[in-house]
Amino acid sequence: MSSKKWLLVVMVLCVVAVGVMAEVRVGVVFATGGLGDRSFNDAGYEGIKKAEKELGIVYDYVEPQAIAEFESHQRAFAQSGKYDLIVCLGFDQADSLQKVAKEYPKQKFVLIDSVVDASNVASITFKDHEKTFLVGALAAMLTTDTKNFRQMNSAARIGAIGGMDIPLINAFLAGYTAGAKYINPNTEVYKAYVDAWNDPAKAKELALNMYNRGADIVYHAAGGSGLGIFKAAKQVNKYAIGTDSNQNFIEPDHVLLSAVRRLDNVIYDQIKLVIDGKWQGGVHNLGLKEKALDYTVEDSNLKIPQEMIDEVETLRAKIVSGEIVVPDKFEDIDAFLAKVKR
Amino acid sequence: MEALRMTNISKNFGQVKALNRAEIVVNKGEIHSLLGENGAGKTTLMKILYGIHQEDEGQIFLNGQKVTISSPKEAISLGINMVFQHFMLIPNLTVMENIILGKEEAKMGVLSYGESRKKVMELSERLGLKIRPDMKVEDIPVGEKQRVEIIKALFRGAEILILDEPTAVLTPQEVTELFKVLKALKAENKTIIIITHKLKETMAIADNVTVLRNGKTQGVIEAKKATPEILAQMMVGRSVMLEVEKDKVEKGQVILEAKNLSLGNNLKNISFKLHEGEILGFAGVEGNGQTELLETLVGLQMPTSGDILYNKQNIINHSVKERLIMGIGFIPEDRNDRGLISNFNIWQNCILGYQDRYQKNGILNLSAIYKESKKLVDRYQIKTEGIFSPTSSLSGGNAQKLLVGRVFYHSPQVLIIAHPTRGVDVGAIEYLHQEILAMRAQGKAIILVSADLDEIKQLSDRIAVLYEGSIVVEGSAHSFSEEELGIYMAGGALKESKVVGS
Amino acid sequence: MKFWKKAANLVLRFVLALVASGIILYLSGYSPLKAYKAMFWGAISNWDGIALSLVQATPLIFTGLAVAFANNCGIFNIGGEGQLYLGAIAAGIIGAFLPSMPHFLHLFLALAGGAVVGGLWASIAAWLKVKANANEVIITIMLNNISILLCSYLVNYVFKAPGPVPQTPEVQPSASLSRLGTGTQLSTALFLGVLLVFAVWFILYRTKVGYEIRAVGANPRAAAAAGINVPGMMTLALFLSGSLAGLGGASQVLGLHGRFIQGFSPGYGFDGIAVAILGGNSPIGVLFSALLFGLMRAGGMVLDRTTKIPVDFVLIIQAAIILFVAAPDIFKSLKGGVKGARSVAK
Repeated sequence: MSSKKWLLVVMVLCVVAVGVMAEVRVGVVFATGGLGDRSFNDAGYEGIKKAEKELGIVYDYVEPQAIAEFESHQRAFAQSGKYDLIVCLGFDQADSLQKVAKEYPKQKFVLIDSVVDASNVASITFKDHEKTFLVGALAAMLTTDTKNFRQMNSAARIGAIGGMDIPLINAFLAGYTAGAKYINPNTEVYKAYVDAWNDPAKAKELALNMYNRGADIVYHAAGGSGLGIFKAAKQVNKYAIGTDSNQNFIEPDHVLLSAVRRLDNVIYDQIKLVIDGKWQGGVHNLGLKEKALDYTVEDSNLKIPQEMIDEVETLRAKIVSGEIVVPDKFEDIDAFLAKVKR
Repeated sequence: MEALRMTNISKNFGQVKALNRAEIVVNKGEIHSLLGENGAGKTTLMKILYGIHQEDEGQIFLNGQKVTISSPKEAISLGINMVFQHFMLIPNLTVMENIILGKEEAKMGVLSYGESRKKVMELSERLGLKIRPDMKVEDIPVGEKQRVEIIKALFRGAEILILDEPTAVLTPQEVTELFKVLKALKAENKTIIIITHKLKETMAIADNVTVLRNGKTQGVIEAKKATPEILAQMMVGRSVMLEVEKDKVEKGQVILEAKNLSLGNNLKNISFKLHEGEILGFAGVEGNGQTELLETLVGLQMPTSGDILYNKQNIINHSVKERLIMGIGFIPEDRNDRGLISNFNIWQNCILGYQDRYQKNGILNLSAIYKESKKLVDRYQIKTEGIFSPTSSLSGGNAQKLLVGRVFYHSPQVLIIAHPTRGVDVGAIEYLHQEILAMRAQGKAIILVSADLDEIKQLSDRIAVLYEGSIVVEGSAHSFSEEELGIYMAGGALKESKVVGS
Repeated sequence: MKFWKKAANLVLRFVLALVASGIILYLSGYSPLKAYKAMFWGAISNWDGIALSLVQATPLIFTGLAVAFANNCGIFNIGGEGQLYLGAIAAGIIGAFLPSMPHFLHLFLALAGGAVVGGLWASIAAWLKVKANANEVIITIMLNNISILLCSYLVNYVFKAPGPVPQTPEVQPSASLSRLGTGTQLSTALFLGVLLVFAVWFILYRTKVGYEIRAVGANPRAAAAAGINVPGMMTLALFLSGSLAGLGGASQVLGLHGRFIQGFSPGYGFDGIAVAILGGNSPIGVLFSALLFGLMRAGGMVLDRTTKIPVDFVLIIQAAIILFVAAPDIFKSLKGGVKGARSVAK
């Protein structure tokens, strides 16, 4: 055998060895809505798949059916010792992660949407009200635009449907309301809650009700339930706004835009930090400034006038610079409006 | 000429042998009584003939031809029709619609009754089967419903007509009417089979009698040559005392008194006095207030007005339980409805209502319960594998013995008894009657409601007749003839109220 | 003999369920054998799996008992979910907000609070049934919604722990059902459940009240004629049924979660119906059928974690098992239940 061939064999062996050694394994514990919600879990999954493609990681995931299952899944992943990083999606995993992170102090965890105070947990929270502020502002402009959108009526009425009446979701709705009223203080914002993340039928009824009361656009922060809102929009030929991931393609003739969390980016970044050896625990509160949040009009057949986009982009700049501090509670909206209008 | 012959008919339902090589031969143009106790297999045999059940083995011959009958439709096309105990009419259609149902003639898709109606009315007149063709079935009385069923059968061309316990729901007058019709049918050379367990009826109407016992044919006898005693012996397998001997018992104090009891439209001003050692029988066609009267007496229903005195104490506001503890025992009319709990086992039914006597600090004293239940089962001759057997495994007669025995065993002072022998075989009837009279001999006061006039007449010291919620007549038992009672029960041509004895 | 026949029948139905869902798995391109191995072997082959099965079974023991108890009185309590929620939040509030006190007293108060609140909630349905002859099935379903929304309000506005999550503050150690070691979710809640199985058995079969409850359930008209206070027994049975469900919620809060969390139940109250019916409405039967359901849930979790088979297939397998094993009895019992509901006794 020639020395060239030997060299080749050695090289191949090296590549294989490096491949085996460097293979990063990630465990994912999704939120109870499960994959296919085209929202929270799916957005997270995008990041995992991106990491698989670009960074060559491998992963296992679970889709728990109940809160009581989180702890057991987290522990089983940690116990196996096979995972370089365990990603936990959803605020309701915090309690169990508190326990499990303590039992396995060398295991790295990422927790989305809540905080666990441990050095081996990176807790990631979002200033979701910042992105919904932009979306709300756009909705307020669009709902009276009877020229470009034939199905809009002249009344300044819009809607927002939350998954549950909880602070996290209320921050979404508060930002949305503040954005709408910032543009037009007379905008009426209907709000309602589905009380479930996976009940599209009920969400649809709630949305139909809002459309019947004269709202043209309904935004949702309701996980898997949100799919019902798009159905309602299609049924009465009105408009909707998606959430968490790009949902425009679901009903491209009715979904104007989606307020997105770049959860894919965030999770991808976390995995990359692990691979690069730069990963750190602690609390990360991310917003527009960190590009963890955005909105997107891609895949929608509806065309939003450029001047509106421009106006929203100015708002984004103001938020990034700190000139506008978006409220995340309903009770703070009035004070906010009074302050910005002076 | 022989119209029907069924030979060697056997039929099993799971483990149960309903029929074991049963036989019946019926001549054309006769009234044939198929006699037997409950569970003897009479109805099963006839359901095989009518195509509802299929025989496991055996043959059927019609007019000498061997036939197989696999559905009622086939049976009807062969001229066999059956009138069931529970009528198969559609309540919200009219009488005429019910009769021609399945044989409608239509002109261009529109129902036309012309021909059929003429035929039906002609049948009705010729045979004396009085019907009102345009009444809704739900609005007509039971007797008329039965006539409708018979006309319906004839209209479909019945040559052999099977009637399942046809007199069970009729007043004596209606029974007489029915018998006239049956005789008229016989005159037209129709063949009639009556399923019954009543001896008197059989004697009155039948030409020939086939007796079934335990799924086997016990014999065939010409009715003229039979006596009730012979028939009863064939049915039961031993000699039976058909008439109970009633000892004379001294009447004691008044223990229960009703004063002007009224309950909506169901009871109107009922008053009576009941003495110790006395049986007061309430006769009447069912649905004339009997159920309401008994339930009011035991406390299940609150009367709209009136009082009930027990030992001179007004108990109108006492609960069922309080009355039970005071000594009022209740044997309800339907053992499967208010009497027994069918998916309890036997010991659990033995203490129902008396569970307070078998507990300490709320915990059941099982050893005492088992002991007493065994005693009860022995004392009242309940045939069962043991007190842990399910109650649903008991035959009708033994279940009734359990119900009656439970109340009698716990020695009440007053007994409120409804239909003590309904759906019970001849042997058990004899036994239950003796037990009731034994209670009377012990000085217990007894109220007896029964649809069986013979029973009322045999057991009661006094009889009151209920009609539309009122007592229309009351008197000592021997002062009424059966005819008279029948007239009062039907709302009464004898309008003048008669009070005899008392 | 009869027992073995019944057992053989159950096994046969179980196998049929596996065959049916196996066909679906196979047609979707997954190996049924691998799936079943992961599912059942994973749940019984090691202590972790067994512990997980027991953890999953624990709430179902309570809710199964709750449904079975009411069924014994002829009442179909479909409201276990709502009663569970209220019992849970009551225990969570008592456990977190009462001043410190001795362990047993605090624990007792928290459990009793859960039981009483769950029981009283169920009594609303009993009261409406007795007073207005309302159908308890409809009432208890409606009460479910009200109860869950009420809990949602309480946990978001009145008793919320600081922070963004809708949950009550942590239960104090003095009110906790202690865990059986670190690294396991098993707690003394399991023992409480088993204890209740025997308590319910004793009440139903050894006491006068239990006898009367069962008499009402089997034939309310005969019970009434025997002097038993039928409305009274129905109310009592629903109260106790609600208490059992409430205790189930309380034990989840005090033993597993350590606090009330919104959405903590994935439908334990409803699963209790299947558990009770599969268990033949007998307490011992409930214990075994809850264990079977727990094993199935735990197996499903293992399957989800260790294979690439989507979790939807776990649900299909579980649904097939319920459909084949329990549904025939459920329909039978529903028919009886409707009949029972109609004949409200006088």
